[in-house]
Amino acid sequence: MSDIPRLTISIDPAACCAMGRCAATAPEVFDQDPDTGTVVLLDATPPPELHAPARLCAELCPCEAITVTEG
Amino acid sequence: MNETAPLAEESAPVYPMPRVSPVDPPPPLAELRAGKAASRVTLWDGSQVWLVTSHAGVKAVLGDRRFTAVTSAPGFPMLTRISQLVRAKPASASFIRMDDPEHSRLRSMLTRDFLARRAEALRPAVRELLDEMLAKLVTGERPVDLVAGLAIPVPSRVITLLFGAGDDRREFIESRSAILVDRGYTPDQVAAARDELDGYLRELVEERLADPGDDLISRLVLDQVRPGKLSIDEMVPMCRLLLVAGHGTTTSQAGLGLLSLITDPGLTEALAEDPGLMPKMVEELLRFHSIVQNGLARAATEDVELDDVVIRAGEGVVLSLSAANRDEQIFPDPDRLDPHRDARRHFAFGHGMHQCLGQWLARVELEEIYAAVLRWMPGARLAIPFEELEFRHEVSSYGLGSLPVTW
Ligand code: HEM
Ligand code: SF4
Repeated sequence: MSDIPRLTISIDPAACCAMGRCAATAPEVFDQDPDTGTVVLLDATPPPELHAPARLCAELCPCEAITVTEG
Repeated sequence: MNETAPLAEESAPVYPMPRVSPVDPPPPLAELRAGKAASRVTLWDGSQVWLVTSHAGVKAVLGDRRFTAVTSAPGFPMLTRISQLVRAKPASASFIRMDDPEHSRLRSMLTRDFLARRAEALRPAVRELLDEMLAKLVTGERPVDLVAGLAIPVPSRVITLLFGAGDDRREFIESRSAILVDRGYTPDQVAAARDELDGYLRELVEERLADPGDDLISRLVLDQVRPGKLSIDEMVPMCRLLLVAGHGTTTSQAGLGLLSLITDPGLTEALAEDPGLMPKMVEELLRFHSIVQNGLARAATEDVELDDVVIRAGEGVVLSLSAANRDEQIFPDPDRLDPHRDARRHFAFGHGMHQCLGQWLARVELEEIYAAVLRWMPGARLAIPFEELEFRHEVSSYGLGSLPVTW
C-alpha cells in the first residue's frame, strides 16, 4: 500500500434536495443534473488536494446526501 | 422594545432580546451559547419555548426530521402576532410551512428555475439593470438613498423578471409584499394584503394558462398545472412565497452589506486588491448580518435528545441563526467582519430541507449590487452620522430604513 491518503465518497441521490452546495464547492467532484438538480458524483476517490473541499461538501450539504470515508 | 412584553421568569428571559449595537446580535445570546444546548425563553404571548444558539445545535435541529415546520403543530412557536394569522388560515400555507413529502413535492417543481446555473445565467440581466439604475442615480441630487434607490427595487425587479410580470404590476407587488413581512401592521392588515396579493397572483396564473410565455409562471402552468400535478389553489401560495421570501430578505441584506462596505475601509481595500474576493465577501456579509434576526421556528414531534437537553414532543424550538453565525467554535473572532474569512458554514440561508431555495439568485443579486455601487460611486461614504441611521427592528428581516450616501 502507498501512504497517499485516500478518501472515498458516496452519495444518496434520494436524500439530495438539489441545493447545489456540493457542485459549487467542489466542481471537480460533484455536478448536478441540469433538470432535477440532483447530485451527480464525478469522482468517488478524488486526489488528495480535493479531500478538504470534498469533506466540506459533506458538511455543507443541507440534506445529508454526501458521505465521505477516510481510506 | 414592546411595553406589553410579558414578565418573564429569570430562568426564561423574554425573546427576542433587545440589541445593544445595531450591527451585532443581542449580547445575551453569546452567554446562552456558552451554556446548555438549549435554553428556555419566553415569547411575546407568554409561551415558553427552547432557544438554540450554537452552530452545532442549529445544524442538528434543522437537519432532523423529527422537528416539524408546520405552524399548526402542537407547541409551534409563534414568534410574532402575524404567525398566528398563518396558523388561523392553514389552507393557504406555502411549502416553507410544510414537511416532506408535501414540501419536497412542491419545492421540487421550482428547483430547475433556481439552480445555481440558472442564477448565473441571469447575472448579465441583473448587471444591466443595475447599470441602468445607477446611471440615473449618479446624475441626480446627492445624497442618494441606496435603500430606496437600489436595495428595494432590485430584488423586486428581479422577481418580476422571473415571473414575466410587467412594470405596471411591480408597484402593486412591492407594496403588498412589504406589508406581509412588516410587524408594524396588524394581523387584519396583513390578511388583507395577503388576500389582495393572492387574488392578483391568481389572475396572473389564469392569464398564463390561457396564453403561456417563457417565464417561471408559464413553466409551472405547462409542466405542472396542465398535466394535473399542481392545482391553482396550490400554485398561488407558492408564487406568494417566492415574492415574500425573496423580497424583504434581499433588500435587508443588500442595505446592511452596503453599509459595511462603505464604512469599513478594510473591505473596499481588500476588494480593490482582489476583485475575485467578492463571492467570499458576500458569504461573510451574510454571516455577519444574519438578517433573519429572530431565527427559525420548529416544533418537536417526538422526544429528542439534544446534547445535554431533552426536547419533548410538542415543545417549540427557536433556532437563532444570528447566534449560530457568531459561534466562535466555527468562526474564530466571530464579531469581526473579515473579508478573507471562509464563511461558507453560515446559516443565513438556514439548513436542512428548507434551506433557501433562492440562495443562488440572492448571491448573484448581492454580488452585483455591491460591485455596481463600488464601480459607480467610488469612495462612497455615509452622508449622515452613523448614529442617525434608522435600523428597522420591527420587520422579520432586520435592515436599514434608508442609507443616504454621497461620493
Ligand atoms: C439574502 C437574501 C435571503 C436570505 C437571507 C434568505 C433566507 C432564507 C432562510 C433562512 C430560509 C429558511 C426558512 C426555514 O427554514 O424556515 C429561506 C427559505 C426560502 N427562501 Fe430565502 N432568503 C433570501 C433570498 C431569497 C430569494 C431571492 C428567494 C427567491 C426568489 C428566496 C426564496 C426562498 C424560499 C422559496 C424558501 C423556502 C424554502 C423551503 O421551504 O424549502 N429567498 N430563505
Ligand atoms: S449539496 Fe447535498 S442536497 Fe445539495 S445538490 Fe449536493 S448533495 Fe444534493
